[in-house]
Amino acid sequence: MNLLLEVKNLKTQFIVQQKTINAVNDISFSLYNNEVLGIVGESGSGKSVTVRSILRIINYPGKIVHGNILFRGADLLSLNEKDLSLIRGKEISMIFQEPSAALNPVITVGEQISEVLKQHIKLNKKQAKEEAIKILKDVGIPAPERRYHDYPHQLSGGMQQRCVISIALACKPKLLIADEPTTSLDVTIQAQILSLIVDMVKRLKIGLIFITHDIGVVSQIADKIIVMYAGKIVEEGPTSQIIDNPKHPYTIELLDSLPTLSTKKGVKLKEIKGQVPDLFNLPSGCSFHPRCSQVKKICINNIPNLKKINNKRYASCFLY
Amino acid sequence: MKTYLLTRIIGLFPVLFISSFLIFIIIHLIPGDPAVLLVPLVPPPTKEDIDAMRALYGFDKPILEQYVIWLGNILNGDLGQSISKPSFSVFELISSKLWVTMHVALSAFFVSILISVPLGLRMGLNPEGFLAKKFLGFYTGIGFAIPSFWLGILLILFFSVFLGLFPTGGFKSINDDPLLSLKYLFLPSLCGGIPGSVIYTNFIASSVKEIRNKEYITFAIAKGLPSSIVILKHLLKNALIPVVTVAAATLGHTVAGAVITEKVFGIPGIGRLLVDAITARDYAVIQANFMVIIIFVMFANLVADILYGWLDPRIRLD
Amino acid sequence: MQNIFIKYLNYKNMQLTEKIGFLVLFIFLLMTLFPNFVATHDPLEQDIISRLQNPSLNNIFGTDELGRDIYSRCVYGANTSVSTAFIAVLFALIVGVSTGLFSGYSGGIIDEFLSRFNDILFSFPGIIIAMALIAVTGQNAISVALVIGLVDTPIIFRVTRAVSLQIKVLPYVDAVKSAGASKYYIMLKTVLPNCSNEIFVQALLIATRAIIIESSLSFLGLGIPPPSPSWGSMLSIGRSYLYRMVWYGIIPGIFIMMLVISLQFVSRYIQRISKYSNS
Repeated sequence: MNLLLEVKNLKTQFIVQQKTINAVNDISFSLYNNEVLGIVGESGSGKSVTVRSILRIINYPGKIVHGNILFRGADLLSLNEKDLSLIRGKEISMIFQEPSAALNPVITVGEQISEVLKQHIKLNKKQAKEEAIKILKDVGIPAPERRYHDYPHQLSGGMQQRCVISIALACKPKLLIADEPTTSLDVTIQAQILSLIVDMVKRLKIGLIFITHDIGVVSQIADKIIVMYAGKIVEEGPTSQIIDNPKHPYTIELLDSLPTLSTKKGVKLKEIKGQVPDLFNLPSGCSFHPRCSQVKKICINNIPNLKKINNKRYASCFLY
Repeated sequence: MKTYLLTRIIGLFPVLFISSFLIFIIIHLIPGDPAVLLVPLVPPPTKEDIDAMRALYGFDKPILEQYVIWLGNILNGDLGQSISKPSFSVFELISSKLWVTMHVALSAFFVSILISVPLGLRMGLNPEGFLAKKFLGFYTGIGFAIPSFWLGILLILFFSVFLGLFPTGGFKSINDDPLLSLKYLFLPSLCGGIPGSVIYTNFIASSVKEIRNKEYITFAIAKGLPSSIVILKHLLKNALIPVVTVAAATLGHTVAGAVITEKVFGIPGIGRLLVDAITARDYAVIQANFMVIIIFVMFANLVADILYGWLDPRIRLD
Repeated sequence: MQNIFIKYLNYKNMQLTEKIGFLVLFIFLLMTLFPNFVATHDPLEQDIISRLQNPSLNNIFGTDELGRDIYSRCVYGANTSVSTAFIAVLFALIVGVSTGLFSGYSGGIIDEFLSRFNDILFSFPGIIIAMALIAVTGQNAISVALVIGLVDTPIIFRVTRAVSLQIKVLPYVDAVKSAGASKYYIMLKTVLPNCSNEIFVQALLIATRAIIIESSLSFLGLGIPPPSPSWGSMLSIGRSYLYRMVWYGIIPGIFIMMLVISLQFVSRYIQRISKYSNS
């Protein structure tokens, strides 16, 4: 198995109103070819910022301040914009959460696909159009020749997301990053898009990083899972192990709050008590301690590090 | 799109009618009896002469009736006779001068765009930079503090008197001699264009600043498109749509600028015609002139609305 | 009211540019009220022999085509511009505030109609409307000032109306109403203090517009008639003598610019101060 992506000690900060927020606070993980990695966390946990740091599309006032991101051996953080643009869309692609926001409203969807083909594979206008129509067909859009000339607002949310997927996979990248691709879609469409993504990734034999706040979704498709909280990784490991035997209290709560087949109708779903931490005002010590059911005295003032519990299992908690 | 267009055009008519009526009334409030001005002074006019003159021009009829007659004439293409230059019909006067003023107004507009698009773009892309933070305030302040006629004088001083590069005034139609025409238009276009560019620059800067943070711009970068394509294709197309509306809305001010520019550079356009007519109390000319200006401004607003609808596919394909 | 005045004029709070602005404005005020102290010559005194002279010790900025001292004429010209602007702003304030209050408070069709009218008035270039009205009223000092005031009214209308719309829904207003206060009393007492800062700032900006329009009108020959000196008409004549004497076409423009810029600085100061004192 080849090492596709290796993130080492990534730190990304935002400077807002003269205060510094550590949105991504020393994150490390790796991904192999053909592997599916799921990143789970609530909003504000830093999952989006992590993957946007990989592609280096962090806007002001954010800044990557530390770390290495090795993609097939090359450190992405040391490349200039020109070299980066050779990687974006061609080697590494990304799918955004809101397809209606990701697509440019005044350019046809077909053109938005063609332009990556023209840019990266140097196809001419006619070839790009043909290829684009072919891709639209592959992702399951009916009457692709007509849809090519449509504008984003003329398509439904599901169709828009399929277009975004087309754009991302048009140049057959080695790594696909999907940032909550189904969250803003209709429930009925979510499953379709999810299986479409998994299908394409398997077919193209590429790596996938899938971000979501729904641990149930990621348990179905990921080979391994990372759980993030307040900018840090709190638990990491193969999917089956994490689902069957979660170690970190936060992971346990996440799994508990999911409805299962035995959940009775009308029974209130279990919530995680407390609120998502304010990144301006993080709790002292372990960021999760105010909401933790197994909190100990040591948790209040000391920050736990990511510790290896056994082969391939990691957790940052004083329980271990 | 069709309904959009229709509502816009229909909305114009009541405004046109009301404004023409208002202008007509106002002009006729001008004190002084035009009939007295029209009778030949030799031999000395009698009361009957003046009354006859009044009847000839229809000044003795009630105002409403005069308006209806005037309106009827207009719709037949007859704008009336100039009082101060009786050998010309108002239509002839205005149409010949309108062509000239178009040179002035359009070249000034062109210069405004030429200055404001790159400048505004730069400022919008670097909102924390020197240009956007310090220079814009200075530029805007000066732009509103310098009277455009004084700017014209300074331009003449520098380029004509001092450098001798351009003529100090005058006009040449673009039909007759394009190169010479441009030479005559160079300074006037700067005179009208630089003050006008201030508003556009501000507007473009804020529009670009807003658009560049949109998700689809980030996505375009994430696709690996080079920044030139992202800016020129993805960003500008979106950012310029509201600017088009502003451009048309301020076209009226371009006209006002043209009036002044014509006086500074001695260009025989509508502006000059208007000023002379006001001094000479030439009703028909004043009226027709203002009507032309109003129609022009409204037409420009209509074009802006249409352009906005056409450029934004969300409205165009509804 | 008095403490507001003193608070505004606390010169320790001002940045350098703002101090300069106040100083220059003060000088112009002197020129307006006591021109004979600031000027060196009689603005109407002709001396054909020494026409179009360059600046010299005798005439700081030179002489015009009739031998009159340009500097003194500029000083007296301040009177024209400043008093016109003053009356114009006063007119705009009185008409703008009252109609704005009335429109905002009344709501409904009245508000719709007045706002529409205001928008149309605002969308036309000021100088065009001014020219149209001057054609009717003729060229005299009062008409010019009032016409310019009318042109500038829409801005004040808009500001007052916006605030009055906000205020009218406050419970405080209902309380006062049920205590029996008349509509106008309510509007005056509740709305005005809330927008006085904004109106003051806008008034200064209107003043700059008024000065520009007035000088443009007199440049075109449609302003206050001669021999009253006006910067605009001086520039108009100076334009034709550029090859003989450059200063005639430059100096009056500098006066215009300095007056406008000083007003801008003062306005900026008021904006800055009101941000801090707004509770």
